[in-house]
Amino acid sequence: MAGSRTSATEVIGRGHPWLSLAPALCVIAVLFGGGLVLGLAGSFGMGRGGWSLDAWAAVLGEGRVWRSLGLSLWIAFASTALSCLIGLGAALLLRRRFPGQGLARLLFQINLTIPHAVGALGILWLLSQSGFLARIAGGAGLIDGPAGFPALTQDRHAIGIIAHYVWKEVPFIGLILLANMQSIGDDPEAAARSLGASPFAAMRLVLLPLLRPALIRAGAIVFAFSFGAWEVPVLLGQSSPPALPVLAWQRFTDPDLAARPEAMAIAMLIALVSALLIRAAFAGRS
Amino acid sequence: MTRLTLDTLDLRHPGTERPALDALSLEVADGEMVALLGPSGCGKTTALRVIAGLVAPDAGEVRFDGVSVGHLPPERREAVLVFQSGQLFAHMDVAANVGFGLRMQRRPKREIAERVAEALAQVQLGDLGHRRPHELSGGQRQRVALARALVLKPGLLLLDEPLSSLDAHLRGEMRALIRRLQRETGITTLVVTHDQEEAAVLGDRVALMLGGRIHQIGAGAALWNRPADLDVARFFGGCNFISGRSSGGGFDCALGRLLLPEGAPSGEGCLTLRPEAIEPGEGENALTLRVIETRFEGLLTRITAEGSGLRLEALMRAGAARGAVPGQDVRWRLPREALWVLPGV
Repeated sequence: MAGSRTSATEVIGRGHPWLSLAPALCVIAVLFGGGLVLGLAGSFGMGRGGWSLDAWAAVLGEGRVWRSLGLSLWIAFASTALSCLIGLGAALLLRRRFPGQGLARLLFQINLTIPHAVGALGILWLLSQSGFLARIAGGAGLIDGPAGFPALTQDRHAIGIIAHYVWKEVPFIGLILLANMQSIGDDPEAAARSLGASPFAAMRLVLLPLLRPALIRAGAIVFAFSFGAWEVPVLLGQSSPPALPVLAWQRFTDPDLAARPEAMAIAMLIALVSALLIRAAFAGRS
Repeated sequence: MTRLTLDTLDLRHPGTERPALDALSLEVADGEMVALLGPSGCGKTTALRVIAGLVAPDAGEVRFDGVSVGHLPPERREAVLVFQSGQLFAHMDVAANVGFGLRMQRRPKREIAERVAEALAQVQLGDLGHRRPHELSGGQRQRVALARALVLKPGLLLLDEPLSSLDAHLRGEMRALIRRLQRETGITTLVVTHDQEEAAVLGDRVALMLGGRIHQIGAGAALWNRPADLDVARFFGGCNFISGRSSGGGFDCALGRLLLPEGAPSGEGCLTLRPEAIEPGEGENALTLRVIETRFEGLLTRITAEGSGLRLEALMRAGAARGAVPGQDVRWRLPREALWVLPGV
């Protein structure tokens, strides 16, 4: 009896969880859910005189869309894998105590504050065939002219785009892992060491599995962003095939309004693939 | 099994004023179980970590069987530390947790499986090998942590507050289990605790640690009844301290001459007796005191009484305490065998 009275008081006192969440849920539902629903409706031709699957059929039947999808998947997978790997390594180094640790952490985090577009311009200035590195190579007599420098931006393999995402996301992954390591503490590894594990074995068999959920979560965010964002591929990517978000943006801004539903279908495709892959990553975890 | 020697260990954590270990010396005999008792913050867990090799001391030496192990990393010391929280690896099942150390020793899979089953049976968890740590109760988790250490047959077992996370009922059970396993295996064991009762039950000897060093070591009863100094007496709940002079088997103080037990130190000093040792009634060392205050503390009642300008505190059961009414006189007997003199205090 006492228990049920307490829970009744709690419900009255704090309100039902759904009720408490309602204001935030409303904003999310209207802004994000609404956008999604309108986008989906647009892809089925809503507002253009009836519903149809034409836009989806056109998009899925177009080779260029599939090539763009392939390129975007490559960009997202490569950026996520490299960011996770380097971010993990950096976090493992930065968690140790050493003189100047505070400064090192600050420098590590600093590019979190730089906007993507600015970072992408920086990469362009650094890596393009007329960029800083190319000029140094030219000055040192290593190459004859801009064409002698390997194409690292607007290139087939999207190296410039991946370099930008890695540069930008390594601190993000690193920070999440550092915070996670702080809450895990040293004891799990200490327990492993006391049971006979070498420092490397303790890290591999105990610390890394404990960090895995956080790494997957952070990786999913990086994947979703690098798969769906368009400003960096616009600045650093090749024009054919463009990354999938760039293709959606091109169709959306096409003077021919008939291309709009296709833009919506591509955008929905991006959201769908992203959601499915992230779902698979989380399922693999458990 | 291993004989453990701690030789004047010093350790100061950076940025702290008081040292965590202050010339800490301790000898634990082969096969002995010593309880390292102390209040929180006295450095006892730090001492365990130094012995396990997880923390390096600023000075001093840790020796196993007389040989210094200062240069050995934790994984190469013959000591296993069982953490207060158990520290089971959440991503492994119970059997993998228990077999972890054997896996590190690259033992064959079959041997690991056999020894894990044996260790789990020892702690009465034979059928839970496939469970995950989060599916276990607090007591079961602690037993798995114990099995994980015992399966390695270490020379030295270090237990850090193994019972503090358990409720009273489980604590008694686990205490008996630790005691039994230690007797059966004969592994030299150092168990850290802040609980006096636990220390007395678990330890062949109890070492009281205060402020980073051992103040007294001996059988549990000796520390309770024959404290070496004022700090030890206070830690064990001593609250009656009377200054005076001990000579010829008696103690002269403001209360008159009290008869002392045999072997009590002579000279200027401080007489101490535990509050629960005071009895109501007549006899040897009987005094008349005026009751100042009584306070109900559950099973016992704490009575403060005054005589010749000195205050004494007594803890009595309800029946014995009934006669004590504030403002009235009582006759209390201070049993000779319960008195002890702290010389030079």
